[in-house]
Amino acid sequence: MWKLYFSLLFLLMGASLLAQDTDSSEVAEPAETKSGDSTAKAKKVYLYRIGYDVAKLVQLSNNSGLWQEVQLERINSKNGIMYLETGAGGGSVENEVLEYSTSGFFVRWGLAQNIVYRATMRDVETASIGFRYGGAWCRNSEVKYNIKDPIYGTESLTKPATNMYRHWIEVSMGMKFGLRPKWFLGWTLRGAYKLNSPETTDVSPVLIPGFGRGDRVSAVGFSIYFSYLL
Amino acid sequence: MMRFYTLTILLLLAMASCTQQEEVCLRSITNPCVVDFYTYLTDSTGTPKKTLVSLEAASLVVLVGESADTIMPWSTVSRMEIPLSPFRDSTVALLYLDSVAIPDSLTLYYTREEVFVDVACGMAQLYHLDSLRPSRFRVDSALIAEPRLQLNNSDVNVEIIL
Repeated sequence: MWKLYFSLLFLLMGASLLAQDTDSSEVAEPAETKSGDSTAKAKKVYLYRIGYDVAKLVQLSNNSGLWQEVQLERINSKNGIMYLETGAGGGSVENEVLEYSTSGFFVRWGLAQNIVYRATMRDVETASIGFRYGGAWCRNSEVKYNIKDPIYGTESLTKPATNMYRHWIEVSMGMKFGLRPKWFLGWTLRGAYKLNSPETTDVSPVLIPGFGRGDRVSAVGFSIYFSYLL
Repeated sequence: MMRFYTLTILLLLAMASCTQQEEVCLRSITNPCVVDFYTYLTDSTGTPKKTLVSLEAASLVVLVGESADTIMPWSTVSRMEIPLSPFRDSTVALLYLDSVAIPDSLTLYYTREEVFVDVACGMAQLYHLDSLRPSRFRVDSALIAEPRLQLNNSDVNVEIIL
């Protein structure tokens, strides 16, 4: 249960940070002017960008599972980027030993630093490195499985449907460049490590949305975001 | 130039991400009960010493339901691997030792635990030996050395004294 609280804490922390910030392009406190100083402090501006991962459409040919995801980016004047990503999906497996499916949704939250020069505040072509924390709520359908033994034969058994929470951390890097004013295309490459202990008596999800294969401890993810600057 | 590199990387990764994953179980998920055979020999000082013995023309039979299933004959052996039934809580093995026509029986009682291996291999059984009951024809005594049988078990689980 403590893992769930820990995970919710991370996710709520991201949401609260978003809530604290001013709206898109909103100016923070009025600049203070000192006596005799005509220059104002730099305005604190946040830019928001939403995106959709079109790489998941390309990966439709992979029948082991699929999820769809959208991304919200907040870019500040100091080249810091905060991400909030969410999506849903699932997968199924049907082979000679297992037959079941998984569905679920996920939320990822993370921070990154833009490492390329921006000529102006509205210039948001970025190359970034950062980290994310993700959590997914999954549901396994009833699991039909066979235990096969070369001497004793085969027996078919079932396990009831189960709900589960899986969470992970990941490091990421990516780039985005402008296609047209306000429209951007870019990629993100991420390496993720699952924080849950290895599956033992539970049947792992076929696919953890936002992470990858459920029976793996680590995963490499790749996204192509088609984004719009708000 | 930045756009060129970005597009190139993007295209390569998109192609890589389309590769189909093969679902083939590449792991061995068997875990037989490993049995070693010993006898007591007296050394030069007259002290009995437990010594691994080599058996000739030994073979192993396990009972599957009402029928018997011969596992393997060995020419010279000091160790046998008894496959445990994943569907019952006990397994009866008949041990033909040293060309003796009448076998010894060894009944193993255990608890089973199903574990998930991966999507390709499915579920496997882990065992925990609770007790055993040998016959006393050729066998003098038997004891459990390591009760846990993990996947790809190689530990000696049972020692049989002849």
